[in-house]
Amino acid sequence: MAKEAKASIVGVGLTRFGNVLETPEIKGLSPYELACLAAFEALEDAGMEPKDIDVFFIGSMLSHTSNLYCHYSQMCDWLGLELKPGIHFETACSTTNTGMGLAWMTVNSGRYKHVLVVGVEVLNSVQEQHPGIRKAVDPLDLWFWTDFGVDQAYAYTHAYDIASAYGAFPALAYAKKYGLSIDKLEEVLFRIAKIVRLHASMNPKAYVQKTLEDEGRELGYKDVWEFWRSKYNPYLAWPVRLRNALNVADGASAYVIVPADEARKYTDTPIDILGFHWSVKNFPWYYAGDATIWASDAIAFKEAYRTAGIEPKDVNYLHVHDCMQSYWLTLGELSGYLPRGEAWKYVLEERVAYNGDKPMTTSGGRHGMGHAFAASPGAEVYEAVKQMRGECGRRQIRPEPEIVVLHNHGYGMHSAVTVLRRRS
Amino acid sequence: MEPIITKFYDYLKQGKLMGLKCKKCKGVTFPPKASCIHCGSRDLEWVEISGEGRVLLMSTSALPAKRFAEYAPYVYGLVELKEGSYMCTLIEGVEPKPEALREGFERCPMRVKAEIKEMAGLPIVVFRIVE
Repeated sequence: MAKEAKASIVGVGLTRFGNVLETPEIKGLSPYELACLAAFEALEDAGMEPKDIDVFFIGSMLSHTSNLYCHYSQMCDWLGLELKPGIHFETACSTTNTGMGLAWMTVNSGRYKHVLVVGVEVLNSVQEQHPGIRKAVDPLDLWFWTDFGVDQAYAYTHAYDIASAYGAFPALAYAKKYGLSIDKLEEVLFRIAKIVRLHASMNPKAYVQKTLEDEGRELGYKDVWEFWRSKYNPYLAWPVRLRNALNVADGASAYVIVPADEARKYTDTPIDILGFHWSVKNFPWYYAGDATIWASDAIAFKEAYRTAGIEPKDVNYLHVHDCMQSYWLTLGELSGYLPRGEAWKYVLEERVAYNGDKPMTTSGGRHGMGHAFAASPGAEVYEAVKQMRGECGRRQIRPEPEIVVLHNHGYGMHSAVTVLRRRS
Repeated sequence: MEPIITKFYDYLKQGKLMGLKCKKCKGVTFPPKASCIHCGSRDLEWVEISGEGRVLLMSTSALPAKRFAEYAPYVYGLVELKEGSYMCTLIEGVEPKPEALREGFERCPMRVKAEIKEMAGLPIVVFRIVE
């Protein structure tokens, strides 16, 4: 039985994800302005002013591209929060999932009541003369800096390869474990990508808003499967192709958390934080060599469910960190949302699409919505809250989900799981 | 505390593959760390590692690590050592091509043996397929 809530989300904000060098809604914006855009939307959504906020947490990961440390001091006046208590925090790509737990603990300590959490990341460019003048970044440099988040003592020195270790190995291990041929695995990964792009095509804040079919047609392919296997979609790490992977994005997200018994002052639909847990593991992340099972994920799910007082059967919507889309399979199952060994069938039957009976990641995830590292989990909080309120337009889940589970991976590796509930 | 990381690479320079054995639980921590990865004990002693194991998974990346870009394309794999540790590193003896990796997928796990190789300015551990 779900436990009594002690903290609730009452406001959410999100920029469009994309590239500040070219994406219209965020073009020319610096990290300062991105953070403000998301934070102001969250405050307005909660009907709050900055003076109502007691403490703020700003999360971001990659200082090499943002040219920023000490966000709390550099952004406090931009946010209208000067002289308030503020910190910078980071658990890489799970940062703004972790932020919900931090805010829960803060509210429950009784020391501060109203918490603003912001995530911001600029990854596609580096600063030149000032934060608004930027030049495109070389992907090799971007991943060189990103991989500072992985074991430097031994992994980094032994040709650490994120695309293989994070992308290919879990996919291959899943196929091996459940007897899928490589051809069948590729078909399943293709079908996940189709759902991902369908979801993203209906999300006005997503980076990539084209279906795979439309993109293929534009490149001269009438058959989307032919497009999938074409030179335009090469292997990133065999057998995982480019469009099964993240799109690096710039963007920001934010939310406001207050004590549960105050939440109705700010919203008609409080979203309660029922439970959460984090678990960490150094590389390699796999449990006893089984790349489909990571102990840190298993522990995070189990403890988040226990603290929330729920079971997997209670969950109406699941987001898993899908920098590589094979996690729809492995984590879909490890979370208990999908039966062991059958996630691939749920994909082929499209039961995990927004209009299926087991909807997942309706935002478009890390490929479609895009991946602005520390800000990405906040984008999924935004999506979950909007889904629970019934505000997602064409991609709305019916009926609106009541219990939602959000999972993120932060390098390398931080497993964060948070359970949310729509209060009726 | 001794400089464990430096000592590990110094041993590799000498042609030795070394890890730490826990005096309490007898588990082996490889590569070596300041605590036993099995029980957390700090009562550890250096031991030579067999270098024998099995490669469980292999792939090749279009986005190699920057420091290793000059060696790309290469095969990267997950190896289970006889001592019960796991390591990801370069795999020798298989072509970094989809056809070869597909065949490898069917045949894995395959026996491997460690070799020490100078790459990107350091002696590192790679594994060669021996069957």
